[in-house]
Amino acid sequence: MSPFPGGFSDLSGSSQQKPYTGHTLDWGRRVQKGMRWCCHLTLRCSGGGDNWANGRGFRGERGEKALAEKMMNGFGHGHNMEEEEVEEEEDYAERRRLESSAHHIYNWKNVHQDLHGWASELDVGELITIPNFSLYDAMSAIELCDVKMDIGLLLKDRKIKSFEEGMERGSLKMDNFLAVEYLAVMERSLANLILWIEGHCLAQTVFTMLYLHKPQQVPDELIRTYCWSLLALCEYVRQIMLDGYVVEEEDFQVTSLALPPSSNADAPTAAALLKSVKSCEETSSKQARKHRSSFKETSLADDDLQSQQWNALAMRFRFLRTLLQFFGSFALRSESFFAEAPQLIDLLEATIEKILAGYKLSEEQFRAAPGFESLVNLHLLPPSFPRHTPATVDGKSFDFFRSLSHQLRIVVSARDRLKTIEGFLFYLRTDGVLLDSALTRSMMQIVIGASLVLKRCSGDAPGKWELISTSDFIADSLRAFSNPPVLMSGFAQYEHHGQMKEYIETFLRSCIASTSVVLRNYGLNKARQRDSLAACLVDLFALQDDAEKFDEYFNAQLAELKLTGLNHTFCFGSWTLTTMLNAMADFLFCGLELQLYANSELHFVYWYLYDVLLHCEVQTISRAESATRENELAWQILHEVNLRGNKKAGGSKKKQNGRTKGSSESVPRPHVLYLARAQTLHHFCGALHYALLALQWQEKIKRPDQSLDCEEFRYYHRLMPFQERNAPAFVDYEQYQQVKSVMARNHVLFVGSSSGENSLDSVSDAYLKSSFNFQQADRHLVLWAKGGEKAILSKLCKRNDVIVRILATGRNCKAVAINFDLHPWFPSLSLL
Amino acid sequence: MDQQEDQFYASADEILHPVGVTTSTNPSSAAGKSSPGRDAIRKLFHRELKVVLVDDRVIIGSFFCTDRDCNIVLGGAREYENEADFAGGKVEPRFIGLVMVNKKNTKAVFVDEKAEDAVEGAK
Repeated sequence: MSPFPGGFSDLSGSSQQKPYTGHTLDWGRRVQKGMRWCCHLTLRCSGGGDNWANGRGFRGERGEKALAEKMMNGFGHGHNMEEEEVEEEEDYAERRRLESSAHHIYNWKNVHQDLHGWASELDVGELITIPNFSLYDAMSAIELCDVKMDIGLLLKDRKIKSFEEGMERGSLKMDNFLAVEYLAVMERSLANLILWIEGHCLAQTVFTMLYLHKPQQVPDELIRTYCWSLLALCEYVRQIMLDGYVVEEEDFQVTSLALPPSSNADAPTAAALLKSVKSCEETSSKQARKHRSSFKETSLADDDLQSQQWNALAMRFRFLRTLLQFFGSFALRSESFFAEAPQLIDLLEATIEKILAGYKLSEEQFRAAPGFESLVNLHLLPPSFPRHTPATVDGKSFDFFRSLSHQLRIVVSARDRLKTIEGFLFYLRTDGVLLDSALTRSMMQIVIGASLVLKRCSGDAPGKWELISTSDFIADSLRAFSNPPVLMSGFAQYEHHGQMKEYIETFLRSCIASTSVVLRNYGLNKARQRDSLAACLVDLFALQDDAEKFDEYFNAQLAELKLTGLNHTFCFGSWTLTTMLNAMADFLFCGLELQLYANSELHFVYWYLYDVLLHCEVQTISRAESATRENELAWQILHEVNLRGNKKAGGSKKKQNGRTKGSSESVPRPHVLYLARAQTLHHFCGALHYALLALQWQEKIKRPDQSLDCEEFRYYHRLMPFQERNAPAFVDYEQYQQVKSVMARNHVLFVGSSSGENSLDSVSDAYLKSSFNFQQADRHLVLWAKGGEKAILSKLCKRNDVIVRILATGRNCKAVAINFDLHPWFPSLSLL
Repeated sequence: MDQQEDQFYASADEILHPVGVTTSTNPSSAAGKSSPGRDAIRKLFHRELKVVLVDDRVIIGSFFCTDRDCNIVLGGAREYENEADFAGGKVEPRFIGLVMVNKKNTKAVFVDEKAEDAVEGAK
C-alpha cells in the first residue's frame, strides 16, 4: 500500500504499450518510484546554477534539441537511479512475475450479503483489522462518496477525459477555428501560465489545455505552433527557476507530480519555432488586412470586427515571438544577450501596449475557449491535493506581462551596476524592490551568479559575460567605500613586507562567503529572506570582529613602514559594519513588510532602527567617506615626498597631481547616495517612533491587556538575532525605558510640571520632534530617491507631518489609524 | 528507563482507551475474540476486494479492516469509473491509497477467489 498516489507521464506511457493484465497491484509501487524520481530530479537540479558560470547553456552543449523531449525529461522523470533502487527493482520484478503467473485474471465472488452477516456478529465499536492496524490508521483513510474528501465524484463531471478521447468523440475542436477562438485559447492559456509562475501546480494550470498534451497531432497550424511556443516558454521558465535557485516550494513548483502523457516527436528547434511563430504572425496580419479591405468595400461591421480580432492575434504572436527570443537568448547565455535585451524589451512593451489598447475578449468568450478542461489531470494528482485552480486572471494577463517587462529591464541593467557591492545593494534596495515575481528574482540571481564568479572559474570561460572575480569585486568595493591603504593601487611595493599580503587575501576570502549570502538573500521571498538575514548575522558578526583585528594589525604595520598619514583604522571595519547594519535594518524592515509587528510594538521597532542601527550606519558611512578622503590625500603627499626623494622630474609630478585632483573632484563619491538614503530612513524611523510613542502616551493606540502583556518579553523576542552582538552593542529593554523616561522627564523639568509621560507638554514635544524628523526625511529624500518610490515617500512625509502637527496642537481625536497601504515599511497616519 | 517508558505508555493507553468504554480501538483486544463470522472476515484480510459504489465506480483494494456497520477499509486502492473501464483493461485506474467505504454507498462487494486458489494450490 502506498500513501503516495500520483502518476507520471512515463508510467502511464509505458503501461499503454504493455498488454494489460488486469492486475494492478504494482500501481502503488510504481507511484512510489515516481515520487523518488521526482526527488532525484529536485536534487539534481539544485546544482543547476553552475552551468551558466561555466558558460554552458542548458541546451547549448547538445545543440538545440527537441524541446518536447526536454520537457518530458525535465518534468517527468530523472534517469539516475541509485544502486539500491536497482536491486529493489530486480527483486520486485521477480515478485511481480510470480504473482502475475499466480492470478492473471481475477475470479470474483460476491460476498456482499455474507459480509453483512459476518459483520453483524461484531460488538458495537469493535474493529476487526489486520495486525498492526489501528483505528488511527483507519481515520486517515479517504472516505469515498464524501463530497469534501472524494475527488472521484468530481471526475465524473469532466467533459473531456483526455486528448485522444476528445479527438475520437469529436468533443475537442481541431480545425476551422475562428479568430476569437484563437484569442480565447491564447488568453486563457497565458492566464494559466501566469498562475503557474505564481506558484500553482503545472498540471492544474498550463496543462489543463488539452492541445498541449499532443501538439504534434493538432492539425491547425496556428494552435500547433502556439502549443510548441508555450511548451518552450514553460521550459525556459522552469530552467530559470532552477538555475536561480532561490525559489521555495510556496513560490513555485519546479516539478509537477503528474503530467499527461505527451510524445516528444516533431518538436521544432528554437530557431524553427521562432520562424513558425513569425509565419503565424504574418498569416494573422494577412487575414486582418483582407478583412480590412473588404470592410472598406462593403462596410460590414463583421468585417471590421474580424479585422480587429486578426490584428489582435497578430500582436499576440509578435508578443510571443519576442518573449521566446528574450528568454531563449537568456537561457542559452547568448553572448549578445545584454546588447539585444533592451531593444527586445522595448518591442515587448510596445506590443503589450498595443494588445492592451486593441480588441478585448468578453468574459463569455474567455470561458468558451475550446480545448480546456480544468479537471483533466486531477486523476493524476494525490487524492489530498487541492481540487483545481480557477482561472481567475481573465483579461489581466497582459497587465502581468507589462509589469514583467519592467522587471526584466531592471534585471538586464543590473549587470552594469555590479561594480561595487554597496552600489549593487543600493540598486537592489531601490529599483530592485520592484522584482516581486519569483521568475525575475531568479533571473537576477542568474545575472549576479553569471557575472561574478570565483577566480578559479573565470579561467574556464574567459570573456564570457565579462566575468569578474569575486575577490576583485570585493577589493573594488572596499576601495570605493573606505579606501584601505593596503588595497591602494600603489601599495603593491610594500606587500612583500611580512604577512600582509596573505592577510589581505585571507580577509577578502572570508568576505566572499558572507557577500554571496547577502546577495542571495535579495532573491529569496520575504519570509525566507528574514530568516536568512537572521542566520547570516552570526557570520557577519564574526567577520566584523576579524575586520577590526585586521585593521589594528595593518595600522601597526603602516607605522612600522613609516607610512605616516595613512590610517587603516575602521577601513575594513566600517565596510563590514555597514554590511552588517544594513542586514540588521533589513531584518526589521522585512518584519514590517511581513506585518509581523502589532501597532503597540512599532514604537520600539522604529526606535531601534532610529537610535541604534541607522544612527550607527550614518556615522559609519560618514567615517568611511572621511577615511577615503584622508587616505587619498596622505597617499598623494607620500607620493610627492617619494618623488622628491628620488629627485624625479618636477613636470611629470605636477601633471599627475593635477589629474588626480581633477578626477577626485569631478567624480562624486557614491557615499552621498548611501548617506542620503540612510539619513532618510533614519529620520523616517525617528519621526514614526516619536509619533507612535506620543500616541501611545495618549492611549490612542490600542494596547494589549496590561495584566496579560509583557512588553519587555516582546522587545527581546522581536530583536532576538541582535542580542549576541556587542558592536553596536545590543540595547537592553531597560536602557530603552531610560531613554523614553529621559525624554519625558527632560521636558517635565523644563516646564516644571509634575506629571510624567502623559503630560500634554511631553506629548506635544514628541509630536514636534516627529514633525521635525519628517521634514528632515523629506529633505534628504530628493538626494537619492527617484520615480514612484520618491513620490510615495514624499507623500508620506508630507501627509504624516501635517497629522503630527495637528496632534501637537492638542486637538482632540478619538484614535489614529495606522495604515501600511502606501509603503510596506512606513505607515501613513490618519485621524479618526 | 524501560520501566518509566512502560509506565508512560500505560498511562497514555489509559487516556486513549478509558476503562469502561467498550470501544476497542486496539486490534489486539479484538484479536482474542472468536466466532464463525469473525473468522470468515479474517480469512478475507489482505485479499483483493472489489467494491462497486452506488455511482457505479469500481474500487479494487486490499481488505484491511471492518466493523459492525460494515465500514470497509481498503489499502492501496484503485478507482475505475465504471465496470466497463475495469473489464476493458484499457483505462489506467486512479490510485487513491487508503480508503473507507461505508455500507450505504456500497452496491456490491466481491472477493478475489483466484488468490485463494493460488494460495491453496501453493500449499
